[in-house]
Amino acid sequence: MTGYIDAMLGTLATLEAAGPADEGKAAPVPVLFAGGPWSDRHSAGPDLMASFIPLDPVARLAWRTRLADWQQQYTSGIALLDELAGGDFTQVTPVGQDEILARPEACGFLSLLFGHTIEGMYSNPEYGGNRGRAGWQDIGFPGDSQPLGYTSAEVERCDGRDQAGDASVVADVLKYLESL
Amino acid sequence: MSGAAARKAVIIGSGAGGSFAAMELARAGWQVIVFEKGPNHFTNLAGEGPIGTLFSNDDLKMNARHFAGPDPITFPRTWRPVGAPAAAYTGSVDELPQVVGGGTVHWNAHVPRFWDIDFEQLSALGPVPGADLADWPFSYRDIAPYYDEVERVIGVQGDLSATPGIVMRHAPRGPYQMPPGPQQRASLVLAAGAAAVGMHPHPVPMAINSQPYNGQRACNNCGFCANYGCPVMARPSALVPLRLALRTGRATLVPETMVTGIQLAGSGAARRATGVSWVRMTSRGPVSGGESADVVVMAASAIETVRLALLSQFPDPSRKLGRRLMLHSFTNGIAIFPDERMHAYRGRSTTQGAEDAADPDFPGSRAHARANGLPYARGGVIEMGGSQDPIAEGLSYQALLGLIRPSRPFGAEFKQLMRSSVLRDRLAGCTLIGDELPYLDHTVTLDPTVKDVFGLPVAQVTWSLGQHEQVAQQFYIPVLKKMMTAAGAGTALAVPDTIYSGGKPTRGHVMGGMMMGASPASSVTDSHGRVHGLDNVYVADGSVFVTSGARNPTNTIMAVALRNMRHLAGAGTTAGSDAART
Repeated sequence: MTGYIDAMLGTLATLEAAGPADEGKAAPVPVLFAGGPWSDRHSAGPDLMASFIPLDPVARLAWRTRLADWQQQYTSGIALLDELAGGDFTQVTPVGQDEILARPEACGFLSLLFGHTIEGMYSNPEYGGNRGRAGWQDIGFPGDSQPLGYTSAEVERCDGRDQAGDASVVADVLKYLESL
Repeated sequence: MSGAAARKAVIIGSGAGGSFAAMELARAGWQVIVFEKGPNHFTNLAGEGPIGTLFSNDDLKMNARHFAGPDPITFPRTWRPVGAPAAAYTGSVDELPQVVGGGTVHWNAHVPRFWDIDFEQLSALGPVPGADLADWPFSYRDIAPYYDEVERVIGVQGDLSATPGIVMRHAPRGPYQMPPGPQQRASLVLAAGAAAVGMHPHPVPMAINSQPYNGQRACNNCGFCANYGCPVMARPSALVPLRLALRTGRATLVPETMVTGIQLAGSGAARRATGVSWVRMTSRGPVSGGESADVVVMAASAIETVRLALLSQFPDPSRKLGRRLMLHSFTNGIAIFPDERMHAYRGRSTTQGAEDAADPDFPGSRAHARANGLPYARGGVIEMGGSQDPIAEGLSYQALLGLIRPSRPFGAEFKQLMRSSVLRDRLAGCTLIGDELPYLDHTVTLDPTVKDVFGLPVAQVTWSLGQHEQVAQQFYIPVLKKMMTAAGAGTALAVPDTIYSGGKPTRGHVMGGMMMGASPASSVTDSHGRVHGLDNVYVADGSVFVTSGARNPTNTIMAVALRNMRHLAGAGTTAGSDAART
């Protein structure tokens, strides 16, 4: 997932590097808004989503502010994880890492990191996560469908019986929802 | 503004109302300038053939990154609960897209017509304690020809023969331009449940091409529909009248430019607008300017139009400017099917719906209302079908795991939930869009401290769910659950949006604040949307609404804008009784 987060935070430098004189011309385009109207996954190509869309001046201001804030949160969050690990967090065992991430002190940073991990895992692969559509394939989601779309039969039909499975967390989520 | 020389109109906003205003005035020979605060994500708007677009099947771009804006960092709003001393929230509050095309770039394009009783709610249904009910200055019969015309322009699919009797009685109409497209599985399953409990579901009218129309393509059921821009322009909506305006050669579209004030001159009955001031961001900072106008047409959507009226210090003889904000009362139905994947990611967002709950005489609802001290408790249209996308689904599980697995709210169990997809692929959603009555203490004002990127005070929305809406939700929550259970759902929940949001309004059906009416003593705009006390300022968006109609407002915004702009253009009206009444 670092591909997604690196691509996102990396655009801060792109936005800051853009001088006042360029008005977007020839400046590198931040990897924030993938192009359209479709990718090459269901067309003969090219992948139009791989050409990112230049930001208008108002959007540039908003994203500079947002990314600078996130970068600061990542810097202090990683420092916090190292502190809780008593050294280098990445050298702790996976079980130990999970324990640290679940500590109340890490709650704020975990929320940011988890949210961005979800975004990266299930967003269009042009953003740097979901490599080879691994995130979509894991959950049986086809992702973007244009310019193919779906047939009338695919829209209307019943896909047949398919059990949700017996994972206890699924049952617990349903039980929780029913209690609302 | 008399004489044969072309009159010049400045139109503020390029969405549902502004686009029809531009079309009508440009066709009548006016010179038209449309200012749009946001960017233009389209190409070939004024040309022939298909319109091009940068919109795509991209959840991240649309739902997490504000591609259709407004970004809450640069254009926040604040929300204040009714009675609270100060704002409780700063950020996105009932935002609509801030782009060329406005709200119609992301709408689900469901276009039910308001009913006769919606336009005559006070005289037809009587007063409700605490609410500021009134009749509109025209009837369903008066506005029906404009609904017809709007539908011909943008193209609507539907099935007249399947339209239930109650809809035809309250909003009689003729055939649709196109037959209904394929019906989503999740919609059909819920519709079967609705029919089983005595409701009358049917393929809903939608401004989405089921066949090629207007030179634009037919829908190919891509599934990224509501909350997305259409990648194939099968839902061109406001872009159609905008294109018709641009093709006259007399209309100019100016994107990325925010109107910051309407200049007023003169006094008393002669008080009028001379033009507008605007500001635009560049890489060197803001650049401002002005544009003169014979007439100014405000169509920035209800909350922003009120904000601009307040920034421009409009006269307010009725003391109703910015009051009676109506945002609808949304109740969210969640039907989970543990034995079947409902694949709501295919097809249009909502294909079936029912209007039974908009009937004030829905069985049992009057008795429930009376027991709670009200004459009626009205729901509204129920939209059936649709689900959430994987990012929103993941965020749902993130929140749920924090509650049920606090010691390890991530990891393998998160993946199990994503694979089971109880809150996406097994979910068939439905929404009750409840009538929200007008209340004088639901307001838009200027926030005392929060400013936008240009340093101007943002809109403060003061709103809490009203008494009628709470009573109606109490009645309809069990009705929705019964419907979903009859549809075969293993788990059926019906939860008001405000439970999730902590009381904050949601979704972006924005109406009221510049209420229409015959008398300057009791309304903000006159019977044709002209601001009382200002000779040449008109309003052509949802802010002129008198009631909220218990259903999606956008096609009514279009029809009312068309009626009022035709009057302004001097082309007369097609409805005799309308002209006589006003």
